[in-house]
Amino acid sequence: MWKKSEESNPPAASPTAGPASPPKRSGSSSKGPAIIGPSIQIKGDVSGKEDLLIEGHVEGEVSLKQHNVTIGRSGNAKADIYGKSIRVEGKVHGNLFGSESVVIQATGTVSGNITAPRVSLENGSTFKGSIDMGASNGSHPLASHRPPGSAKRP
Amino acid sequence: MRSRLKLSEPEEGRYRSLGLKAWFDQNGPSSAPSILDLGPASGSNLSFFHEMGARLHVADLYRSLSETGERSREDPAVFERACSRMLPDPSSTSFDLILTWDLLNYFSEQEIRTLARHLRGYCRRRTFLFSLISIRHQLPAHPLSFQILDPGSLSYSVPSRVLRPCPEYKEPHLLRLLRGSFEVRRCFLLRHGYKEYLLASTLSDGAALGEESPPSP
Repeated sequence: MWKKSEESNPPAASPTAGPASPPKRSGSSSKGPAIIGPSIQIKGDVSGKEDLLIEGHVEGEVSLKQHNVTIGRSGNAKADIYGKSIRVEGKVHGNLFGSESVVIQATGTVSGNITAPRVSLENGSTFKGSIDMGASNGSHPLASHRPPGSAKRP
Repeated sequence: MRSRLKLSEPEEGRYRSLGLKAWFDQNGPSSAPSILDLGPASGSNLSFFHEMGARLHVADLYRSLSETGERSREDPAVFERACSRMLPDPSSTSFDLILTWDLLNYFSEQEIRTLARHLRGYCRRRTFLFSLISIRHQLPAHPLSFQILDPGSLSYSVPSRVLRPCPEYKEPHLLRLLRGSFEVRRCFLLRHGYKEYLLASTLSDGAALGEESPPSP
Protein backbone atom coordinates (compact mmCIF):
# COMPACT_ATOMS: atom_id res chain seq x y z
CA MET A 1 0.00 0.00 0.00
CA TRP A 2 1.35 3.35 -0.79
CA LYS A 3 1.45 6.21 1.68
CA LYS A 4 0.09 9.74 1.18
CA SER A 5 3.48 11.13 1.56
CA GLU A 6 4.57 9.17 -1.39
CA GLU A 7 1.59 10.50 -3.42
CA SER A 8 2.30 14.14 -2.66
CA ASN A 9 5.96 13.81 -2.91
CA PRO A 10 6.69 12.53 -6.26
CA PRO A 11 9.74 10.42 -6.30
CA ALA A 12 12.80 12.53 -6.59
CA ALA A 13 14.27 12.64 -9.95
CA SER A 14 17.26 10.50 -10.30
CA PRO A 15 20.27 12.53 -9.46
CA THR A 16 22.16 13.66 -12.51
CA ALA A 17 25.28 11.83 -13.30
CA GLY A 18 27.25 15.03 -13.04
CA PRO A 19 29.10 16.62 -15.92
CA ALA A 20 28.94 14.58 -19.13
CA SER A 21 32.02 12.45 -19.63
CA PRO A 22 34.23 13.87 -22.33
CA PRO A 23 34.06 11.86 -25.53
CA LYS A 24 36.88 9.45 -26.06
CA ARG A 25 39.60 10.81 -28.25
CA SER A 26 39.62 9.36 -31.71
CA GLY A 27 42.56 7.07 -32.32
CA SER A 28 42.48 5.54 -28.87
CA SER A 29 43.40 1.91 -28.89
CA SER A 30 40.16 0.87 -27.23
CA LYS A 31 38.00 2.39 -29.96
CA GLY A 32 38.92 0.15 -32.90
CA PRO A 33 39.88 1.13 -36.41
CA ALA A 34 38.07 3.53 -38.66
CA ILE A 35 36.20 1.55 -41.31
CA ILE A 36 35.63 2.15 -44.99
CA GLY A 37 32.58 -0.02 -45.51
CA PRO A 38 32.05 -2.44 -48.39
CA SER A 39 29.73 -0.10 -50.25
CA ILE A 40 32.06 2.88 -50.05
CA GLN A 41 34.19 3.91 -53.01
CA ILE A 42 36.89 6.51 -52.60
CA LYS A 43 38.93 8.06 -55.37
CA GLY A 44 41.67 10.16 -53.89
CA ASP A 45 44.14 10.16 -51.02
CA VAL A 46 43.28 8.83 -47.60
CA SER A 47 45.28 9.95 -44.59
CA GLY A 48 44.70 10.09 -40.88
CA LYS A 49 45.87 9.38 -37.36
CA GLU A 50 44.13 6.13 -36.50
CA ASP A 51 44.02 2.54 -37.57
CA LEU A 52 42.03 1.87 -40.71
CA LEU A 53 40.07 -1.11 -42.03
CA ILE A 54 39.23 -0.97 -45.73
CA GLU A 55 36.31 -3.13 -46.81
CA GLY A 56 35.36 -0.96 -49.76
CA HIS A 57 37.13 0.34 -52.83
CA VAL A 58 39.95 2.87 -52.61
CA GLU A 59 41.79 4.33 -55.55
CA GLY A 60 44.64 6.72 -54.87
CA GLU A 61 47.00 6.70 -51.91
CA VAL A 62 46.50 5.56 -48.33
CA SER A 63 48.91 7.14 -45.88
CA LEU A 64 48.69 6.24 -42.19
CA LYS A 65 52.34 5.81 -41.44
CA GLN A 66 52.00 5.62 -37.66
CA HIS A 67 49.03 3.27 -37.72
CA ASN A 68 47.82 -0.10 -38.81
CA VAL A 69 46.07 -0.57 -42.13
CA THR A 70 44.00 -3.63 -42.95
CA ILE A 71 42.54 -4.43 -46.35
CA GLY A 72 39.60 -6.62 -45.40
CA ARG A 73 38.31 -9.55 -47.39
CA SER A 74 35.88 -7.33 -49.24
CA GLY A 75 38.45 -4.61 -49.66
CA ASN A 76 39.90 -3.62 -52.99
CA ALA A 77 42.65 -1.01 -53.14
CA LYS A 78 44.26 0.38 -56.27
CA ALA A 79 46.63 2.46 -54.26
CA ASP A 80 50.03 2.79 -52.70
CA ILE A 81 49.60 2.11 -49.01
CA TYR A 82 51.77 3.46 -46.19
CA GLY A 83 51.31 2.14 -42.68
CA LYS A 84 53.00 0.90 -39.55
CA SER A 85 51.77 -2.62 -40.13
CA ILE A 86 49.76 -3.54 -43.20
CA ARG A 87 47.58 -6.61 -43.36
CA VAL A 88 45.99 -7.74 -46.62
CA GLU A 89 43.01 -10.06 -46.67
CA GLY A 90 41.50 -8.66 -49.87
CA LYS A 91 42.96 -7.22 -53.04
CA VAL A 92 45.65 -4.65 -53.53
CA HIS A 93 47.02 -3.35 -56.79
CA GLY A 94 49.75 -1.01 -55.67
CA ASN A 95 52.87 -0.76 -53.55
CA LEU A 96 52.92 -1.45 -49.83
CA PHE A 97 55.22 0.38 -47.44
CA GLY A 98 55.13 -0.96 -43.90
CA SER A 99 57.44 0.59 -41.32
CA GLU A 100 57.07 -2.53 -39.18
CA SER A 101 55.50 -5.31 -41.22
CA VAL A 102 53.41 -6.41 -44.14
CA VAL A 103 51.31 -9.56 -43.92
CA ILE A 104 49.42 -11.09 -46.82
CA GLN A 105 46.81 -13.45 -45.47
CA ALA A 106 45.65 -16.59 -47.20
CA THR A 107 42.78 -14.75 -48.87
CA GLY A 108 44.94 -11.80 -49.89
CA THR A 109 46.07 -10.87 -53.38
CA VAL A 110 48.76 -8.27 -53.96
CA SER A 111 50.19 -7.04 -57.21
CA GLY A 112 52.88 -4.49 -56.48
CA ASN A 113 56.10 -4.03 -54.58
CA ILE A 114 56.48 -4.47 -50.84
CA THR A 115 58.93 -2.55 -48.67
CA ALA A 116 58.99 -3.55 -45.01
CA PRO A 117 61.46 -5.00 -42.52
CA ARG A 118 59.20 -8.02 -42.03
CA VAL A 119 57.06 -9.57 -44.73
CA SER A 120 54.89 -12.62 -44.32
CA LEU A 121 53.05 -14.53 -47.02
CA GLU A 122 50.55 -17.07 -45.74
CA ASN A 123 49.86 -20.24 -47.67
CA GLY A 124 47.20 -19.56 -50.22
CA SER A 125 48.06 -15.91 -50.70
CA THR A 126 48.84 -14.52 -54.12
CA PHE A 127 51.64 -12.07 -54.70
CA LYS A 128 53.41 -10.61 -57.71
CA GLY A 129 56.11 -8.00 -57.38
CA SER A 130 59.37 -7.35 -55.61
CA ILE A 131 60.04 -7.55 -51.90
CA ASP A 132 62.57 -5.36 -50.16
CA MET A 133 63.15 -6.12 -46.50
CA GLY A 134 66.06 -3.78 -46.10
CA ALA A 135 69.63 -4.48 -44.95
CA SER A 136 70.32 -7.07 -42.27
CA ASN A 137 71.77 -4.39 -39.99
CA GLY A 138 68.28 -3.15 -39.25
CA SER A 139 68.34 -0.03 -41.38
CA HIS A 140 65.27 0.35 -43.47
CA PRO A 141 64.02 2.91 -45.95
CA LEU A 142 61.07 3.68 -43.69
CA ALA A 143 62.90 3.67 -40.38
CA SER A 144 62.85 7.46 -40.18
CA HIS A 145 59.32 8.72 -39.74
CA ARG A 146 58.54 11.61 -41.97
CA PRO A 147 55.69 13.95 -41.08
CA PRO A 148 52.48 13.16 -42.93
CA GLY A 149 52.12 15.12 -46.10
CA SER A 150 55.78 15.70 -46.58
CA ALA A 151 56.54 12.35 -48.10
CA LYS A 152 56.82 12.17 -51.82
CA ARG A 153 55.33 9.34 -53.79
CA PRO A 154 57.94 6.90 -55.06
CA MET B 1 50.29 -35.45 -79.78
CA ARG B 2 48.49 -37.40 -77.13
CA SER B 3 45.36 -35.64 -75.91
CA ARG B 4 44.06 -38.30 -73.60
CA LEU B 5 44.31 -37.31 -70.01
CA LYS B 6 45.44 -39.69 -67.37
CA LEU B 7 45.47 -39.51 -63.65
CA SER B 8 48.37 -40.30 -61.46
CA GLU B 9 48.72 -40.66 -57.78
CA PRO B 10 49.52 -37.32 -56.22
CA GLU B 11 53.14 -36.95 -55.45
CA GLU B 12 54.63 -34.82 -52.80
CA GLY B 13 58.09 -35.12 -51.61
CA ARG B 14 61.44 -33.78 -50.78
CA TYR B 15 64.65 -34.22 -52.68
CA ARG B 16 68.20 -33.07 -52.64
CA SER B 17 68.71 -30.27 -55.11
CA LEU B 18 72.32 -30.47 -56.23
CA GLY B 19 71.79 -27.66 -58.73
CA LEU B 20 70.59 -25.15 -56.17
CA LYS B 21 73.22 -26.30 -53.73
CA ALA B 22 75.89 -25.60 -56.34
CA TRP B 23 74.59 -22.08 -56.73
CA PHE B 24 74.25 -21.45 -52.99
CA ASP B 25 77.78 -22.73 -52.40
CA GLN B 26 79.02 -20.08 -54.77
CA ASN B 27 76.83 -17.34 -53.39
CA GLY B 28 77.07 -17.31 -49.62
CA PRO B 29 74.55 -15.78 -47.26
CA SER B 30 76.27 -12.41 -47.25
CA SER B 31 76.20 -11.94 -50.98
CA ALA B 32 72.73 -10.30 -50.97
CA PRO B 33 71.78 -11.54 -54.43
CA SER B 34 68.94 -10.34 -56.56
CA ILE B 35 66.56 -13.14 -57.48
CA LEU B 36 63.77 -13.43 -60.03
CA ASP B 37 61.29 -16.17 -59.20
CA LEU B 38 59.02 -16.98 -62.15
CA GLY B 39 56.98 -19.33 -59.96
CA PRO B 40 54.30 -18.49 -57.40
CA ALA B 41 55.08 -16.64 -54.18
CA SER B 42 55.95 -18.80 -51.22
CA GLY B 43 56.27 -17.64 -47.65
CA SER B 44 58.92 -20.19 -46.86
CA ASN B 45 60.98 -19.26 -49.93
CA LEU B 46 60.65 -15.62 -48.99
CA SER B 47 61.93 -16.36 -45.49
CA PHE B 48 64.79 -18.38 -46.89
CA PHE B 49 65.94 -15.69 -49.29
CA HIS B 50 65.52 -13.03 -46.62
CA GLU B 51 68.02 -14.87 -44.47
CA MET B 52 70.44 -14.46 -47.36
CA GLY B 53 69.72 -10.77 -47.53
CA ALA B 54 68.40 -11.34 -51.02
CA ARG B 55 66.12 -9.04 -52.93
CA LEU B 56 63.33 -11.08 -54.42
CA HIS B 57 61.01 -10.43 -57.32
CA VAL B 58 58.13 -12.84 -57.78
CA ALA B 59 56.51 -13.05 -61.22
CA ASP B 60 54.07 -15.96 -60.77
CA LEU B 61 54.18 -16.10 -64.55
CA TYR B 62 52.18 -19.23 -65.27
CA ARG B 63 49.24 -18.21 -63.08
CA SER B 64 49.27 -14.67 -64.48
CA LEU B 65 49.21 -15.95 -68.05
CA SER B 66 46.48 -18.45 -67.26
CA GLU B 67 44.28 -15.83 -65.60
CA THR B 68 44.50 -13.44 -68.52
CA GLY B 69 44.34 -16.15 -71.18
CA GLU B 70 47.26 -14.56 -73.00
CA ARG B 71 48.80 -17.67 -74.45
CA SER B 72 47.74 -17.79 -78.03
CA ARG B 73 49.81 -20.17 -80.08
CA GLU B 74 48.51 -18.53 -83.18
CA ASP B 75 49.79 -15.08 -82.23
CA PRO B 76 53.21 -15.00 -80.57
CA ALA B 77 52.89 -11.26 -80.21
CA VAL B 78 50.24 -11.79 -77.56
CA PHE B 79 52.67 -13.77 -75.41
CA GLU B 80 55.37 -11.18 -76.05
CA ARG B 81 53.16 -8.36 -74.83
CA ALA B 82 52.12 -10.39 -71.80
CA CYS B 83 55.73 -11.02 -70.82
CA SER B 84 56.55 -7.34 -71.23
CA ARG B 85 53.73 -6.49 -68.89
CA MET B 86 54.19 -9.24 -66.32
CA LEU B 87 57.96 -9.23 -66.00
CA PRO B 88 60.16 -6.46 -64.59
CA ASP B 89 61.61 -3.88 -66.93
CA PRO B 90 65.00 -5.27 -68.05
CA SER B 91 66.37 -1.81 -68.71
CA SER B 92 66.28 -1.02 -65.00
CA THR B 93 67.08 -4.27 -63.29
CA SER B 94 69.21 -7.38 -63.45
CA PHE B 95 69.24 -10.57 -61.47
CA ASP B 96 71.84 -12.96 -60.11
CA LEU B 97 69.53 -15.96 -60.15
CA ILE B 98 66.46 -16.69 -62.25
CA LEU B 99 64.26 -19.48 -60.96
CA THR B 100 62.17 -20.98 -63.74
CA TRP B 101 61.47 -24.15 -61.71
CA ASP B 102 59.57 -26.51 -64.06
CA LEU B 103 57.82 -23.78 -66.07
CA LEU B 104 59.70 -24.37 -69.32
CA ASN B 105 57.94 -27.74 -69.60
CA TYR B 106 54.66 -25.87 -69.93
CA PHE B 107 55.72 -23.43 -72.62
CA SER B 108 55.86 -24.03 -76.35
CA GLU B 109 59.10 -23.60 -78.28
CA GLN B 110 58.04 -20.16 -79.49
CA GLU B 111 57.09 -19.14 -75.97
CA ILE B 112 60.46 -20.23 -74.63
CA ARG B 113 62.21 -18.20 -77.35
CA THR B 114 60.13 -15.18 -76.42
CA LEU B 115 60.73 -15.66 -72.72
CA ALA B 116 64.45 -16.12 -73.32
CA ARG B 117 64.60 -12.73 -75.00
CA HIS B 118 63.25 -11.15 -71.84
CA LEU B 119 65.46 -13.16 -69.54
CA ARG B 120 68.58 -12.13 -71.49
CA GLY B 121 67.80 -8.56 -70.56
CA TYR B 122 68.25 -9.40 -66.87
CA CYS B 123 71.58 -11.12 -67.28
CA ARG B 124 75.03 -10.04 -66.27
CA ARG B 125 78.16 -12.11 -66.30
CA ARG B 126 77.36 -14.17 -63.23
CA THR B 127 73.66 -14.63 -63.74
CA PHE B 128 72.40 -18.16 -63.38
CA LEU B 129 69.17 -19.79 -64.44
CA PHE B 130 67.75 -22.74 -62.56
CA SER B 131 65.38 -25.04 -64.39
CA LEU B 132 63.78 -28.45 -64.00
CA ILE B 133 63.08 -30.24 -67.25
CA SER B 134 60.86 -33.32 -67.27
CA ILE B 135 62.19 -36.39 -69.05
CA ARG B 136 58.97 -38.39 -68.78
CA HIS B 137 56.39 -38.83 -71.50
CA GLN B 138 53.78 -37.19 -69.31
CA LEU B 139 53.85 -34.68 -66.52
CA PRO B 140 51.31 -33.00 -64.19
CA ALA B 141 48.86 -30.76 -66.02
CA HIS B 142 50.07 -27.73 -64.07
CA PRO B 143 53.47 -26.72 -62.71
CA LEU B 144 54.58 -28.03 -59.36
CA SER B 145 54.91 -25.86 -56.32
CA PHE B 146 58.44 -25.78 -54.90
CA GLN B 147 59.67 -24.80 -51.46
CA ILE B 148 63.30 -24.34 -50.57
CA LEU B 149 63.94 -26.16 -47.30
CA ASP B 150 67.65 -25.49 -47.08
CA PRO B 151 70.44 -24.67 -49.56
CA GLY B 152 70.44 -28.22 -50.81
CA SER B 153 66.89 -29.44 -50.41
CA LEU B 154 63.59 -28.77 -52.09
CA SER B 155 60.12 -29.98 -51.37
CA TYR B 156 57.43 -30.02 -54.00
CA SER B 157 53.70 -30.53 -54.17
CA VAL B 158 51.66 -31.55 -57.17
CA PRO B 159 48.57 -29.38 -57.53
CA SER B 160 46.67 -31.73 -59.81
CA ARG B 161 46.54 -35.45 -60.48
CA VAL B 162 45.70 -34.82 -64.12
CA LEU B 163 48.55 -35.49 -66.52
CA ARG B 164 49.38 -34.02 -69.91
CA PRO B 165 51.93 -34.87 -72.62
CA CYS B 166 55.44 -33.69 -71.91
CA PRO B 167 57.48 -31.82 -74.55
CA GLU B 168 60.61 -33.69 -73.41
CA TYR B 169 63.00 -30.91 -74.31
CA LYS B 170 66.49 -32.28 -74.86
CA GLU B 171 69.48 -30.25 -73.73
CA PRO B 172 70.82 -29.08 -77.12
CA HIS B 173 67.36 -28.10 -78.27
CA LEU B 174 66.64 -26.29 -75.01
CA LEU B 175 69.83 -24.26 -75.29
CA ARG B 176 68.92 -23.28 -78.84
CA LEU B 177 65.50 -22.19 -77.66
CA LEU B 178 67.23 -20.07 -75.03
CA ARG B 179 68.99 -18.31 -77.89
CA GLY B 180 72.45 -19.31 -76.83
CA SER B 181 72.20 -16.96 -73.88
CA PHE B 182 72.96 -19.69 -71.37
CA GLU B 183 75.34 -22.59 -71.09
CA VAL B 184 75.09 -25.63 -68.86
CA ARG B 185 77.15 -25.43 -65.69
CA ARG B 186 75.54 -28.28 -63.82
CA CYS B 187 73.07 -30.95 -64.81
CA PHE B 188 71.64 -33.60 -62.52
CA LEU B 189 69.24 -36.41 -63.32
CA LEU B 190 66.71 -36.82 -60.51
CA ARG B 191 64.77 -39.86 -59.53
CA HIS B 192 61.35 -38.34 -59.89
CA GLY B 193 61.70 -37.84 -63.63
CA TYR B 194 63.28 -34.41 -63.86
CA LYS B 195 66.64 -33.11 -64.96
CA GLU B 196 67.89 -30.26 -62.90
CA TYR B 197 69.82 -27.61 -64.83
CA LEU B 198 71.94 -24.81 -63.49
CA LEU B 199 72.66 -22.64 -66.50
CA ALA B 200 75.07 -19.72 -66.59
CA SER B 201 74.66 -16.60 -68.66
CA THR B 202 76.96 -16.38 -71.65
CA LEU B 203 76.85 -12.59 -71.59
CA SER B 204 79.87 -10.68 -70.37
CA ASP B 205 79.80 -7.72 -68.03
CA GLY B 206 79.00 -4.54 -69.87
CA ALA B 207 77.19 -6.30 -72.66
CA ALA B 208 74.59 -3.89 -73.93
CA LEU B 209 71.04 -5.03 -73.59
CA GLY B 210 69.55 -6.11 -76.84
CA GLU B 211 72.79 -7.12 -78.46
CA GLU B 212 72.74 -10.59 -79.92
CA SER B 213 74.93 -13.01 -78.01
CA PRO B 214 77.59 -14.87 -79.99
CA PRO B 215 76.24 -18.04 -81.55
CA SER B 216 76.82 -21.15 -79.52
CA PRO B 217 79.35 -23.58 -81.02
